[in-house]
Parts: sequence; C-alpha cells; structure tokens
Amino acid sequence: MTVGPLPMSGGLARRLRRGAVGAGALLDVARAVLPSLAAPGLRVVLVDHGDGDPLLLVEEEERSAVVAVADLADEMTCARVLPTAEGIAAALRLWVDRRPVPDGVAAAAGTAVLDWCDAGQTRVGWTVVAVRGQQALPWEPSPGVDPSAVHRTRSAALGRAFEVPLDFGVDGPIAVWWNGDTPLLGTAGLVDPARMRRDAAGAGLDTRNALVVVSPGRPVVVAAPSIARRLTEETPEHSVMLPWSELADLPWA
Amino acid sequence: MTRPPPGRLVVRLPHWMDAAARHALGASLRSALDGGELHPVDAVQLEDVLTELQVAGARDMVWPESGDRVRRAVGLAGDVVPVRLSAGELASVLGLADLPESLRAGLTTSAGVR
Repeated sequence: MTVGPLPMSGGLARRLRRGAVGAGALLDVARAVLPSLAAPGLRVVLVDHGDGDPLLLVEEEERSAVVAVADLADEMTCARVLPTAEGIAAALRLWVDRRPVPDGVAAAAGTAVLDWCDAGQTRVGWTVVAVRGQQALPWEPSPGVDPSAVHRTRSAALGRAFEVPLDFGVDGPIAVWWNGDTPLLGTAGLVDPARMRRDAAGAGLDTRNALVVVSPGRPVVVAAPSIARRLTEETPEHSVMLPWSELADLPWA
Repeated sequence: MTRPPPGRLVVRLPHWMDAAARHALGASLRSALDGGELHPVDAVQLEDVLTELQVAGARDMVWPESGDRVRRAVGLAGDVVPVRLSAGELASVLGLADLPESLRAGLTTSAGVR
C-alpha cells in the first residue's frame, strides 16, 4: 500500500539531460521517411533552394503548410523528442498528421466535438475535426467557401458524432465517458445527452440535477454539483460545468 | 474545529495514495460515519474526504498530465494519484481512533512513499 508525500528522485534530472535534435539528423530522417508518407491527394516534400535552409512542405487539396527544417528541429528539441532516428521519424509523422484539414476531408469524414469558444477558455461550442491516427484535427472553412457547404459539413459531422464509440465507467457517484483510441473525440457523446443519461441510469446514478464537466479533448464527467465542483476546483486545468439543459443550445465554436 | 467560512480560500495539499490505500481509507471513513458518534463538523469533513477519494481518480483520468509527470519522475505506480485534503479534513481523518497505522503514518510522515 502506498500513501504519503513524494520522495526525491533522479528521474527528473535524467529527463532534463535528453539531447537536442539537429537539423542534419532531421534532414536525413525526412529523406528516408517521406516516401512512405505518400498518399492519394497528399504531397510531402523537401524543398531545397540551395541556400542551406531547406524547407518541409505538405500539401493536401487546397491546404498547405511549410516549415524550415531547422525550425522544426528546434521545435522537436523543445518537445523533448528523442534524438534517435526512430524518435525523430515518429515526431515527423506527427507533424505531417497535424497538417491543416481540407474542406473536402471535413465534408467527407468530419466529426463534431466540443472546443473552446474563446482564448480565455470559459465557453465551449461545437467544432468539426478530422481524425488522423490518435489525433483529431480541427477544421476551419476555407475563405470564401459557400455557407451552405459549411452547414452541410457541420450537420454531417454532428451525425457522425452519434456514431463515435465511447467507453463508459462509474466510480461511486461519478460517471465518465471517454474514447480510448482518440481521446479528443471524448466530447462527441454530448451530441446525445439522452444516451448519456440512459448510461448513467443503467449504472444506478440519478443524474437529474447533475452537472456535466466538459474540458475539450478530455473525458466527460457527470456528477452532482458539489462533487463536480470538488473535481474541478483542485486542478489548474480549464473546464466548464453545464446543466443538461444547456447542452441543447451550444453554439459552433 | 470549524470549517472555513464561505468564500475563504481553502488550501488542499496532495497526499499520494495508491488504490489499496484509498480503498482502506474509504473503509475507515465509512466505518466511522456509520458509527454515528462523531462531532457534526468532523462528520462533514469526513464526508468531504470520502468525496475527494472518489473524485481523485476521476480528476487524474480527465487531467493525467501533471500526475504522469510526477509518477514518471519519482517512479510511482500508475494507480498512485494525488488525494487533495485541507488541513481540517486531514485533522478529522487523523482524529479517527481506528485509522490503520499504515495510513496514519503515510498521511503524517515527511519521509516519503512506502
């Protein structure tokens, strides 16, 4: 049995001694890995203008992103990426996965989840995301896109949110819903509060006066108000507590 | 012993407890509350500790990053989570005559996790 304050450890010091990712090493890994990332409609290439500052370019439909290899190497160092070929390759795939979401991809496969509406992270609303691996990337409509197309994409994404499989668990008076494969889809279930209340009722929880604790990208918790407050007030992370009635009127973020 | 007045900042400090320790503390609390011979303020404090025991696991599930950093750095098992107690709540727990010694020592020692 373990209970008590924390002992000192050298683990943190070991983590801080991790080395830097060099631009040359990233370039070598990119040359080896990029061909394997090719996919229909997706172009990922190195662009070298001969000025000693090569760029990494990713293009998909109307969207593109570009970064200097040296800058990406610095970002990987700051993110404490292991400076091995395997570590750098994994981080490179992650960067490619985080490319902007094209309108066509959002329309064909977007799912609605909750996101913050404001920089202060005080209000939540729906947004459309595309799933790539374990990531769910937000979609922003292209400038000038037909408003009716935006509406159709959002409506279809809400429909797909109903189909997102969620895990459900109860610990005493607390009910939790989450998606184990793609954690950022955890809030998709809020599209169907009735299903959540049936889940909770089936586990013996009375949720009539409960609050829904929402922190975008995180599992969703439902608990009595006093318990929900204790859950949220002891963490510096942002969240909102909503009564069931407010879920029906959430805006688009 | 009194509860802080409404609106006053309550500082709750983390006590890192594994699932077995939380289960044992929960059993002690329920036994004391079922006994019905507690001071009303202590009873409320112990009910709050029971709530915290249930909330601690959910909090760590929703926002695991800070706990993960500590667990990795110190080498704690995955089921060790911070249970955050105020001074008043801790005093009420330590005031339980039947609290197992292992829990009492863990909640009061500064020597480290055992």
